[in-house]
Amino acid sequence: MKKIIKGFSPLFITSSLIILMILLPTTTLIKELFAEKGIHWDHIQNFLLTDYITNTLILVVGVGVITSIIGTFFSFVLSHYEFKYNTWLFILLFLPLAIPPYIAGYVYGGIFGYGGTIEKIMRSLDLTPFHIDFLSMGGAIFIFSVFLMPYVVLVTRSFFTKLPASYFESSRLLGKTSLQTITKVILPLSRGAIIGGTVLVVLEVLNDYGLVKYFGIQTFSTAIYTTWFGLGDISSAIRLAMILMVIVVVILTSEHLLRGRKRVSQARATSKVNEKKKPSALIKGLFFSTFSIYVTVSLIIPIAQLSVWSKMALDRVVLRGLTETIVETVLLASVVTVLVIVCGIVIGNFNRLIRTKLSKFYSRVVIIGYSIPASIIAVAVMTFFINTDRTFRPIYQVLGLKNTFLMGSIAMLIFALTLRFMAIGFNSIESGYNKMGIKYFEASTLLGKNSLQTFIKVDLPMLKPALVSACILTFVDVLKELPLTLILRPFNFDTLSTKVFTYAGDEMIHEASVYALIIILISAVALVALQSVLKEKKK
Amino acid sequence: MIQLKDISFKYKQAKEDTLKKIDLSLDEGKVLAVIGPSGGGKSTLLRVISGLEKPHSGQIHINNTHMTHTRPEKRTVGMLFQDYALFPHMTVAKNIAYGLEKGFKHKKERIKEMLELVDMAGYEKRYPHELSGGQQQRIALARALAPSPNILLLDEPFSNLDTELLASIREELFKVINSLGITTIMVTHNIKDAELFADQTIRIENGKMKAIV
Repeated sequence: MKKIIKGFSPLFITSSLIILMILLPTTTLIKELFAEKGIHWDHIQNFLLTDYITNTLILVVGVGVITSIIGTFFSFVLSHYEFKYNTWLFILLFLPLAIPPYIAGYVYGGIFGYGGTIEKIMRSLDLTPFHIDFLSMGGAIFIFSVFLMPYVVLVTRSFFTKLPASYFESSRLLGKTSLQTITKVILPLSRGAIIGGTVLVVLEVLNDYGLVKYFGIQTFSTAIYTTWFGLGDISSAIRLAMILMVIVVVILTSEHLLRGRKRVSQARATSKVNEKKKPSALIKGLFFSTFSIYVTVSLIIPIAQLSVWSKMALDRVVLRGLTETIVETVLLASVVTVLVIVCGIVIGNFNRLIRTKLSKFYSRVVIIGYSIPASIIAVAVMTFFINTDRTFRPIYQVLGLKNTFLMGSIAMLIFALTLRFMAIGFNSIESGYNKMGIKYFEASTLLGKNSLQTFIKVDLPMLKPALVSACILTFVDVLKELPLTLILRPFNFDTLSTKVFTYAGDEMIHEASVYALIIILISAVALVALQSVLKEKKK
Repeated sequence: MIQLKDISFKYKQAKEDTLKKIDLSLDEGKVLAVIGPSGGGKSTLLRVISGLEKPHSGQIHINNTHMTHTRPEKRTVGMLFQDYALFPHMTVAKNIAYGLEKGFKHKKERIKEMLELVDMAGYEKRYPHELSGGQQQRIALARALAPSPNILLLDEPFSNLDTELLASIREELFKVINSLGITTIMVTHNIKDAELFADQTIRIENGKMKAIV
C-alpha cells in the first residue's frame, strides 16, 4: 500500500511538519544547555540539588509502591470475582481520577489544618484537638497514592479480564491452590501491566506542581519554577529541566528492562477468557472493607468537604467572573482537543499507510510528549517562543506588533498543551487504526474511491468510538491541567484550575472549592461517558 | 483479458524479489487459478494486478490498456478479500452501493440485481455482523461485482469457511462468476478448486511461475 502514497504526499508533509513542531522546542532546550551556566547554578548544585533529587525519589518510590500494591489488589479482585455490581464498583474506583491531586491536597490540608474540620469536630465533642502535620512528605505520598491509584487499576484490569482460563485451569490441574496460582502464575504474568500502570502514576507525580508547591516540598517542578520566575535564571532552570529529563529517561528505560524478555502472548479470540468466580466470605470481607475505606477517602470526604465550603462561599461572596472562567476553560480545552485529534489522525494515518522506520519514529515522538513533565515542556516552549520572537522581531516592527508578540499570547499555551496531550489522543486513535487495519482502506480503493473519499466514508465512521474517547480524555486532561497553564497563560487569563490554585494559595479555600467542584463535576461526567463509549466499542 | 509481461516485485524489507519475471496471459471470460505453497507470492500477484503494490519492472495490460502505473481506484478491478473486508458500519445495501459512481442512475436497481445474483434478496438492511460467514462472502462478491469490474480477483475465497458449507458455497460462487462471464483470477491452496473451476492453472513458488498445469 505504501507504494500508492508517493514520496512527498500531503500526508507525509503534514506529518513531518507536526513532528518538527514537536521536536523544535526540545532541540532549542538542548542548544541552551551548552550556553554559559547561570549565576545561581553553583549555589543550586552545591546546596539544593541533592534535596530536589532526594525528595523527588522519595515521592516517586513511595507512591509507586503503594499504588501498585493497592491498585493490583482492587483490579484483580474485581476482574476475578463476581460481585453484584462489578461495573459500578469499578466506576467508583475509577472516579477519583476526576479529582486532581492538587485539589485533594487543598481539601485534606484544610481538614487537618489549624481551625480545620477535624479540630472543629473535636471541639464540638469537647475533646482536645490533636494535630497531624498533613502538609508534609507523608501527606503528599498519601494524596498522590489515593488519587493516582486508578491508573494502575485501569491498566491492570484490562490485562486481568483478558487472561485465558487455561492459565488458571492448568495450574489447578498441576496441583496448585488458588493462592499459589495467583502468586506463581498470575502475578508474574501481569508484571508488565502492573509496571506499566505504575509508570503512568510516577510520570503524573513528576508532572505535578500544585500539590508539592502547596505542601512546601522542594522537587524539580517547584525548583524549575522558582529558578525561572523567582531568580530569573533561565539557564539554571534549563539545566534542572534536563536533569529531570534524565530521571524520566532512566524510569522509562527501567520499565522496559523490568518488563524483561518475558512476554505474554495476546489471548487469541478462540481462547476462553477466565470466568468470574464467587468470592469467599474472607475475600468479600477483605475487599469491601478496603474498598469502603478507599471510596470514603477518595470520593466521599473530598466531595462532601468541597460542597460544604462551596456553600459557605456562595452564601458569603459573589463569585465574580465564574461564568467567564468556565467559558475560557471550555474554549481552551476544546481548541486543544481539536488540535490533538487532528494531529493524531494525521500521524496515525501516516503510520498505518506507510509502515517504514520513519513512520514508527514519528509515532514514538508523539508518544514521548506525555512522559515529559510539564515543567520541562514549559521551559522548552518558552525558550522556543522567546527565540522565535527574537528571530521575527524585524517583521513585527514592520507590522507594528509588540516585540513579545508570541510570548505573551494564548498561542504559546495552546501549543504547549497540544504538545503535552498529543500522546493521549494519538494512543486512542492509533489503537482504532490498528484494530481497523488496512483491509477496508484497500477494499475502498479498489471500489474506486481516493484517499480523501475513503477517509470520510470509511475511516472516519469506523474511528468514531476511538475519536470520542480521545476527545473525552484530552478534554478532561486539559481541564484539570495546572502547571503548564499556570506558567504559560497570558496576563489576565484564567482557567478553573489556575483559579483554584490562586484562591487556595491566598488561603481562600472556600472560594477555591467552587471552582474545584466544577472541575470535578465536568471530569466525572466525562469519565462516566467514556466508560459507556468504551463499553459500546467492545460490543 | 489480462496480460502480464516480465512482472517483478520486491517488498521494501525483503532481500529478494517476491515475484520474479511473471509472464501470463488470460483471455476474456476465463478463470485462472494460482496455486502454490504459502509465502510463494500468490497473494502478492493479486495485489500487484490490483495496483495495491507496484512492480519494479514489467507491464500490466488489462483489456489492452497499459495499466502498470494506473492508481488502484482507477483500474476497475474487483477483489474478493480473504476476510471479505465488508465495512462494518454500513448495511448490506450501502456496502454494495459503495463502489457505484455518484451519478449512477439506477443504484437501487443495481443493488437489487446484485442481491438477486448472489441469492441474498431481502438482506439490504442487515449489517455484516448479522450475517453468517457464507452470506458475508456472497455480499462481498456482490459488492466487488456491482461496479462491473474488468477483472475479478479472488484471494483464497474459501479459507474462512466451515468445511460443511464449503462445497455448496463454492458451487454458488462459480455459478455467479460463470453466468457473468467475467475474467477471474483465483488464488487457492486447494488444487481441487483449480481442477474443478479453472480454465487455466499456474503454480507460483518462490516468486517464480513454475509450471502451467
